[in-house]
Amino acid sequence: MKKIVSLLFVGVLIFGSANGQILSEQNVTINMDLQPVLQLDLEGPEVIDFSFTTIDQYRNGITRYGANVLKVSASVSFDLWANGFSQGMNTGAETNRYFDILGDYGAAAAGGLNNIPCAALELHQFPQNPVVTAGTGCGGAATAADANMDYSAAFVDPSGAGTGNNAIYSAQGTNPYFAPDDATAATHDKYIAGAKAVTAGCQIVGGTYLTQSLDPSNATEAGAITNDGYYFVMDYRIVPGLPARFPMSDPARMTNGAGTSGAAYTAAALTIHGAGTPTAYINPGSYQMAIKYILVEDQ
Amino acid sequence: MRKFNSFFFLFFYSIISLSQSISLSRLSRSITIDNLSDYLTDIEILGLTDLSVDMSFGAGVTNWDLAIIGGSANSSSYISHGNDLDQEDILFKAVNFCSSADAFNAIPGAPLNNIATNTYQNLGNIPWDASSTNPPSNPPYYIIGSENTDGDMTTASCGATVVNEDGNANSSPQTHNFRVDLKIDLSEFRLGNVINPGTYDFNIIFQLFEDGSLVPRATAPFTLEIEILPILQLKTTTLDRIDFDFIEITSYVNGITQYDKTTLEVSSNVDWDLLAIGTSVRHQTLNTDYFWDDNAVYTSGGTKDIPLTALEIFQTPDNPATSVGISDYNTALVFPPTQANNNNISVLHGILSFAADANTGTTLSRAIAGNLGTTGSPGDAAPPGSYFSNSLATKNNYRYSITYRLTPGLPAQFPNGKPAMTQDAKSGYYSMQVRYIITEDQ
Repeated sequence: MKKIVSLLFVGVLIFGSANGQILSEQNVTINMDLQPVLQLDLEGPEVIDFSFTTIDQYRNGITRYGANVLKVSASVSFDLWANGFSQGMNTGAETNRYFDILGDYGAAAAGGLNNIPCAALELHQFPQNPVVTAGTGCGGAATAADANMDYSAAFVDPSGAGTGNNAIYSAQGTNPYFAPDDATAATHDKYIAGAKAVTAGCQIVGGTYLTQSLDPSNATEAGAITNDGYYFVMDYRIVPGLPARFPMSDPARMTNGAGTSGAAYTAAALTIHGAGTPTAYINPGSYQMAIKYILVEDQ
Repeated sequence: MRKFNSFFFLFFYSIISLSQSISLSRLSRSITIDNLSDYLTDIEILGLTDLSVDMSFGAGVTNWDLAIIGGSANSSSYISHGNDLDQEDILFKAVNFCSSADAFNAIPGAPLNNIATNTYQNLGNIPWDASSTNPPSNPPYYIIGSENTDGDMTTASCGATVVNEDGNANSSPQTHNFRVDLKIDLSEFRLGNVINPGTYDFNIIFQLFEDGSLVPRATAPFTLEIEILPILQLKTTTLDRIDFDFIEITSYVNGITQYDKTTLEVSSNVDWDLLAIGTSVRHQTLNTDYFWDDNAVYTSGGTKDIPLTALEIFQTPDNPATSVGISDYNTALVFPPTQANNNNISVLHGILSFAADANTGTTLSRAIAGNLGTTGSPGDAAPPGSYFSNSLATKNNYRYSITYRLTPGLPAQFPNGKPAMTQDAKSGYYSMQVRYIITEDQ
């Protein structure tokens, strides 16, 4: 029996050798680290001064055209928004986004206040938020007007009765990174690019201004520059008004005024737009606020 | 008692005087050829066996002849696209102190098959069927003497000493002892031909003759077993891990190219194909899951299904196979990468039972060298050889440099990947495997 088994074993070996496929191999492991890249370049001055020294400036405001240019590069889909932000140093609660007070020139004046809402700063962007064309589906408020989804609407006449659409979004609460949201139906807190929703079409896909194309042949006006969502020119305007109640920040004049930012102002006892202070005005002084441009992965 | 002693002496003397034998120190030898360096020169084994002649014919006859005969007894090749090792490749020589085999000049007449000098002689000129039970009818190689009656033979080495005189190894060690050497001729390989791996047996018989006789008085068999193993050596001289870190927008847009990161060096004694195969654990688990392994993802949006074909490679030099329709990875990388004109790595599932896959655009005709599925060099395979042994003119066929490129693009959808991505790739840490496989031409 042992002999038979040995014979069988030899037979198998020979068979295996005669029919086996011979090969050899070496392996290389390829690792790929796709780190999310969100790169926001800001062109232009980082400090922008608005000095109101004449009545015309109070009445008509001061506009800084093209004060900043935003250039985006991102490897992931993203949203971009601006948040009016201050250090909460004034008398209101921290949740009330007022300008910080650097110096109060008229503290003795009767009825003078220091609470300038951050929403007194108006933004105008060019080009339009590409997501606007997706309509209300990206905003969450079914009846909101598309034009309210960004800052591309023109500045309105501060002396007229029309409503403005350019007051900067100012997050409610202590977290300045709280994304624009729709607190009330028919309103939109504004995005420069992208929108609240994460469904397809409500964000800017990964890309870069580096590959954004211009049409050197100038064949059509519309085709002169592609609006891909990676390059924005920002204009700023502040209108103190006469008296200095900063009318463009009045929640009543803003279609998004009932949103998060407007709600904070109206709730504050010392707001210049409060029902109990119809004659209030802002004291002369030196005030300061910041704009946080926030680029975040759409999620 | 004295009478008895004399009788015993005479009896014993008569036995001694009539002894005729050949003794071998070894009766067989096994040789394995398993390294390509064996092929660089012919294999030579000195002292394959030691041979001793004991020849005492008695009165009247004093000279003897020594010969060798042999042939292929059995062969079993593992592959069959080359030539078998045959008896023409097996060479012997026999040497002793007196260089007896140099005694050709003393041989009268015109001898046949005489090993006239101490050089190797192959068995190829002796068409002998070693398996036959009949005595071989062909003349053997003569180590000493010839088929003629040679008489006393002398050599320059030993002067007047007769080298084919009666005697034995003890009494005449300088003429009756031989060292038998073996040489295996592998020059066919060095000419670019395949010597089929397999087992080869040769039977050798040493024959001792009375001078001029064609009927041996004594014989000694020797068995030679040679096994040639298939050799397919693939060596990489570079890192076994290559990292692509995309941390800047420019690297997303322009991709990252890592030049000549892998060097492949081949040594083979058979026709061969060299493949590059992209795969992953996911893919090995499920054939239709032809995506990178996602070790970690950093973002929530997008997809983690990045096609394996996103990896491009570029080889230099090009595929040496010459048949029409063969493709390789020698096409210059284009920017931006596209599916149409690409160097996408082949994505194949399994070990060698590969099948083309339209989903990944993988065909079997793309290889670094050769052509999987079709045999024969130089059309569809690379010939045997080595990067360290071939001449400069052909060395390139055995050494390849591989360049790698990954281009996520923006949005990060790897434009050359197949199947095409419809969503952005999630940021994360991914890995895949490139298998370089050298296989016998098939």
